[in-house]
Amino acid sequence: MRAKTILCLLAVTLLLLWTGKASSSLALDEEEINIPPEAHQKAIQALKALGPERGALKLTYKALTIEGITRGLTARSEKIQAALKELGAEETETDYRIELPGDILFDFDKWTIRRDAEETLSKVGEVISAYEHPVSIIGHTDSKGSESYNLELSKKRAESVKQWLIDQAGIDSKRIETSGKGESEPVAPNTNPDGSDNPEGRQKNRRVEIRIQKN
Amino acid sequence: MKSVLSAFFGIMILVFGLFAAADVIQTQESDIWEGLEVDLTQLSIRNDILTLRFKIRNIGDESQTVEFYFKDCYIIDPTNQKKYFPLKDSEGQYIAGPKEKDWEGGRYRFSIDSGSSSGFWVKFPVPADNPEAIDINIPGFFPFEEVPLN
Repeated sequence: MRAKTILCLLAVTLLLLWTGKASSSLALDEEEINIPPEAHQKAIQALKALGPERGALKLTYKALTIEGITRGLTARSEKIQAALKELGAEETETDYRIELPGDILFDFDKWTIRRDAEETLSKVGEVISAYEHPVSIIGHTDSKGSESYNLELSKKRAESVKQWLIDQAGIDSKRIETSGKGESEPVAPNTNPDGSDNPEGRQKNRRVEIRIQKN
Repeated sequence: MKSVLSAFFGIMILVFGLFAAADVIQTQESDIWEGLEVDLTQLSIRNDILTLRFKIRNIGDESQTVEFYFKDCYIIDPTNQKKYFPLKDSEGQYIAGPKEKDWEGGRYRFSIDSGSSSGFWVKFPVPADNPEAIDINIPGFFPFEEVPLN
């Protein structure tokens, strides 16, 4: 009797597995993606456009080497992602853009990095280290003071950030280029419509922009 | 009675093993993301188009975000030393998915929690010389080697 029960159990389990593979640990789950029906037609057209060689590239030793190097360039750990998020980085197709408020990085009219800014810059350094591509550091000021003075101050501030990243975060100096825009590219109005001072706007304009190329 | 029970469990182990194996053609580990493995779950050929399906599984303890561009995926015909890229539609988009962004023909970027999985698919041309096997390269994972085409 027991043997019959076990055999029935076996038959039912087999049936379940056969019909839906319900118990398989590698069964299809909700993450399994359906291929859109039009994809195959597009593929047929794409294949025709490639011609008889079907887009084949003849492998050379050099090509194989480059493939080995490029694999993994898109690596990003959760730590880097968290850093990007904390820094408020904006991602574009080609780069990551981080804007650091000038008031966090520098004292008024100075270009020496403030000690309080080091934690933020360390995060920037971590992100830069995760990539191997060029980095641009661009300094900006508000409109207080002369145009030429602000231009010079913005260049010095960008250069200070670069030097900190080289000295403290170990970034290769050859990867980083700096420039200063002075007051020429404000992100907010420096004055109100009535001509009065707009301290909030000026605060936003005092900034250092860091662009990290992705590819 | 004991022999019946032994037979039952023996058959069950065999059956589970067969079903599990049937779902995966080959598995590779990630060389970047800790705890991630990718299964090649399906390889089909129709109209000289090779459709590959993959499943990335996170068997590690932490959530991981997987990111790669479909332009960096390719297959190799090792016999004839030729490399093939995914097929591209008339708008320059790779015929693959899912895509988080259309950038550079399509980017796969998804977060996979510990214990979860995520699938993707790519369409390639069948290599012109009809090799018996191919190698498949997915960025961030060790290559699938000698995958039979028949």
